[in-house]
Amino acid sequence: MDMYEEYKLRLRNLLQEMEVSSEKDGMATLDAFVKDYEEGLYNQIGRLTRQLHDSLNTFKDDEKIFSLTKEDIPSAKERLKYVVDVTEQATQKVLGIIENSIPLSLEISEGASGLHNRWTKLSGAAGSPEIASSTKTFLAGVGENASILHGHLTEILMAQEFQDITGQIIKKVIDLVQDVEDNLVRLIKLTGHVNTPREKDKENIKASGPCVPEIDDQAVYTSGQDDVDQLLASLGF
Amino acid sequence: MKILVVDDFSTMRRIIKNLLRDLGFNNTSEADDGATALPILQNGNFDFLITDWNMPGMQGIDLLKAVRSDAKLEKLPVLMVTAESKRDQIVEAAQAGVNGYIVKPFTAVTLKEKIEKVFERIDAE
Repeated sequence: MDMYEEYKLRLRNLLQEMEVSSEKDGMATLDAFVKDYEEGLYNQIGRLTRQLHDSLNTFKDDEKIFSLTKEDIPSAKERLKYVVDVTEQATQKVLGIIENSIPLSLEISEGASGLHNRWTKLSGAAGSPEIASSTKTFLAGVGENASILHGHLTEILMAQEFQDITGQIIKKVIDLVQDVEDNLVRLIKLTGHVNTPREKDKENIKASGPCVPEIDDQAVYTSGQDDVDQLLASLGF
Repeated sequence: MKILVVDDFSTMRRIIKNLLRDLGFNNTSEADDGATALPILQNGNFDFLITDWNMPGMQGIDLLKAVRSDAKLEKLPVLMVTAESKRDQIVEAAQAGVNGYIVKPFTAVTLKEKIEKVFERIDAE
């Protein structure tokens, strides 16, 4: 029988006893029960305290936890920071190439349409109408393709936005890992381990960063630009 | 038109600057948080401010509030382009006097539309 069932049974008996006995006797039985109950509680607290004490002692001697704060967590932070750095470098490189390519696509587009116009004026006057018309067709195609190319470059440009979003999310995780490290170090110090934790400048960020789908509460967040527009409209925008 | 783009990620500043150039706005400057942006705004006759929210140092929302409480800058149109998408935050930005709000990720078309809308509203006033 577990403790709860035992208490239930005893209380039921107690109640029956109190119904038939005098107030004084009833109170005495009740007192005895409460005393019993409290003793059980104190015993449990005592046992828990002993367990905690033992755990802390094991913790103190556990080199693995010590090395966790000394090496593993700082290394995890470095790795995450590295991801941010590497994706940023890659993104900057792509942006550089796009910035160099957009003027080229504009130049091709303008050049083609200029020549197209000149061939149009020449048509009829020129001796070779066949080559004139195929050059014109080609130039029109080049101009069109250059515009499409420009559009694609803009799309690639926009796609680099991921670096801002993923970077912010990773930085948030780095902060979290930092907190875990700080707390572990505090616990280790509490259990008597000699350790010199590194100082951390805590920044107070009110902003919460990008919403991570399937993790963050969707009700708190807007679901995209349309949702934002709707909310703003309801505010008189 | 002179535009200041404020974001702590240089990637995003570069993207926005390129999009603005495509839209015909060539006169852009950059700052990486509110604290560096504010003196630039105060000394520079800017016509438009595009700012992120979440930045180390001074956040975008505080920059917006600082702009609105500065006699010289109070009328400056401010567009927020940010990953902050909580309803409370958008309401706070609106109450602080933002002129437009774009959530990341966004598109070139969205940026164009929102900028046009900001100036339509200002012209109508």
